[in-house]
Amino acid sequence: MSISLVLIPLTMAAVGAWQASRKETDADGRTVCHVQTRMRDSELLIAALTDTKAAVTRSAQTITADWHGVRAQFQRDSSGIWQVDFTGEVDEQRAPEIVSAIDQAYGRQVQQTVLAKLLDRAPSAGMTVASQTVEDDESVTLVLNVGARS
Amino acid sequence: MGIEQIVVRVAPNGAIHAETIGLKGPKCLETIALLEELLEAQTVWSSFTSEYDEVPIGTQQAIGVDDELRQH
Repeated sequence: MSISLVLIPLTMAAVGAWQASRKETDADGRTVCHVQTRMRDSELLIAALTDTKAAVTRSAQTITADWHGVRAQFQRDSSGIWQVDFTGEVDEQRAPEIVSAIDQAYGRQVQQTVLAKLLDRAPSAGMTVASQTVEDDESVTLVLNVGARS
Repeated sequence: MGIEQIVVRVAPNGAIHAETIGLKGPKCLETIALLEELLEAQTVWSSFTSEYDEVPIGTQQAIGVDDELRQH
């Protein structure tokens, strides 16, 4: 081995994980649980929410997801990362559980996107796929031959 | 020249681990930029191994030829 790397796709913030829930009360007296996510890409977020069986609606600045009794409203923070406010049948314990489920679905979307990009772009970089393996932990390993690269 | 490969493992949480095999010297650094571009990703950790410090055989020969040319 000559070098070992860990990379984080630009569709994800380079923070360890989503941040803990913070409970607030809005102007209407409703309890709002606020959670900072690590998600950046709106299309992948919508796909992840759809994977969690949410009814998703989108406006110019927000993405809204509804499950039975719970509403999540996503907005970008100043660095472009989605943050979410939960209302409805949700508390400081439940909100992180829901975000964890969304985060896992988002991760799978990112995984598929990364693999698609790699398979699509490798030939133009002079690489060929020697093997593709799905591991026990659902990771996917691609071995690329780079001999053809100049 | 031996086999040159890049092993890319993409986890279900989206994180990417990559290792090179048989790539020596500056080619390793080129690999970082190449993968970042191909994957639209940012390197957050890297580690060089002993193979990085090895000089590719082709490079050794090229330097030798170059030196000989300068002497004449």
